Amino acid sequence: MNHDSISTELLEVIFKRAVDEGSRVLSKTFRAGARIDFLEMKKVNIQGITADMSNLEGEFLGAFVNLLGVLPFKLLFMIDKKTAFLFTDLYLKKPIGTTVKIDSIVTSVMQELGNIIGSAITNIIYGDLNIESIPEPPNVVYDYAASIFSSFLMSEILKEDRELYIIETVFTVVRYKLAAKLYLLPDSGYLSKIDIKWE
Amino acid sequence: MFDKLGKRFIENRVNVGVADIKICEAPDLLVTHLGSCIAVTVYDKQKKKGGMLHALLPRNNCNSSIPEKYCDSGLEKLIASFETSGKLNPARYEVKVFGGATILAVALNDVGKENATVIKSILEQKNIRPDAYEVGGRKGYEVILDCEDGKTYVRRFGEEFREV
Repeated sequence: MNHDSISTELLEVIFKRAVDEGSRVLSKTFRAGARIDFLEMKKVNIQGITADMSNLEGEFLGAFVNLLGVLPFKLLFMIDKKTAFLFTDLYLKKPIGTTVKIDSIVTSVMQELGNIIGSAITNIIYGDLNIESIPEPPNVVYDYAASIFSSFLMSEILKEDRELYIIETVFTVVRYKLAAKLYLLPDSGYLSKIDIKWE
Repeated sequence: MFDKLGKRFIENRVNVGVADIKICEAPDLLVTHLGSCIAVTVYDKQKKKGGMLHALLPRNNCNSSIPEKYCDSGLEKLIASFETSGKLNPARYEVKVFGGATILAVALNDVGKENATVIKSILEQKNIRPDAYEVGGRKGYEVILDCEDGKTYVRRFGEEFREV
């Protein structure tokens, strides 16, 4: 097993633990059985993954969180409009169905959820690696899924031509049908930095 | 859009991702979603052949191995897919430009605006007057080029499709 695959495996373990922590915090926040499942950490082709995103019809909200520091990465919490209404009601402890339009309350809740999940995940990542990080306040965008997603990838596409590492997860909240995804995008130099840290 | 284009909207749909060019013929539909990126479409009325570039950045200053990533090198490649001479006869070809929005309010520099400016200046240098040039704004674009008849349908996020 070479350094690259050891680092990738290590990164995957850390992110899995991080996603578990995110699930725990989300359940606590919603006071409902909420779970984020680590789906996969994969190397993706830029052209392919962004073309696939165009198949996602409808209106989406995305919360972007930048984690600055020695091991920078980005987080995108993206949900469709109906799921945003549901999460707003759950977060504000209102009867489900109360929220019916995208407004400043919904975007504030999205921002807060981005904060909560981002903090939970980074606490684990940086706790495990013993490195401090500085999370930036989340930015919330209401747009097409593909437009949100390409904005999320932009900084890394600037550096990489063909492939990126991306971590994809799936959300579940007991009793509700959701369209929610959390993507984590390690900085392109992440793997080599992990090597240095753990050798 | 499904009402207008029928099953073709699903069966003949070809999505164009970031930093890519797709060339198709009738009855295919070229589809893309844009934020700050730029889409340039070229349609050959004689051959019923369409092409779409989805470029991310203005200029290829680093000799990237992916020319489609940039407005300048991507446009060169797109045009070369139709005419090796690099010249597009306006009687035969339709050229349209979309995108260049600023969807992230905190963007350090306005890539969308820069993309739109660069593509406009390159088209001017090449004496190509675009048949449509819709850029800017704060919301994303969805663009569909129908290779059957060259019709282009565009909508900004939150709006209805328009034929342009």
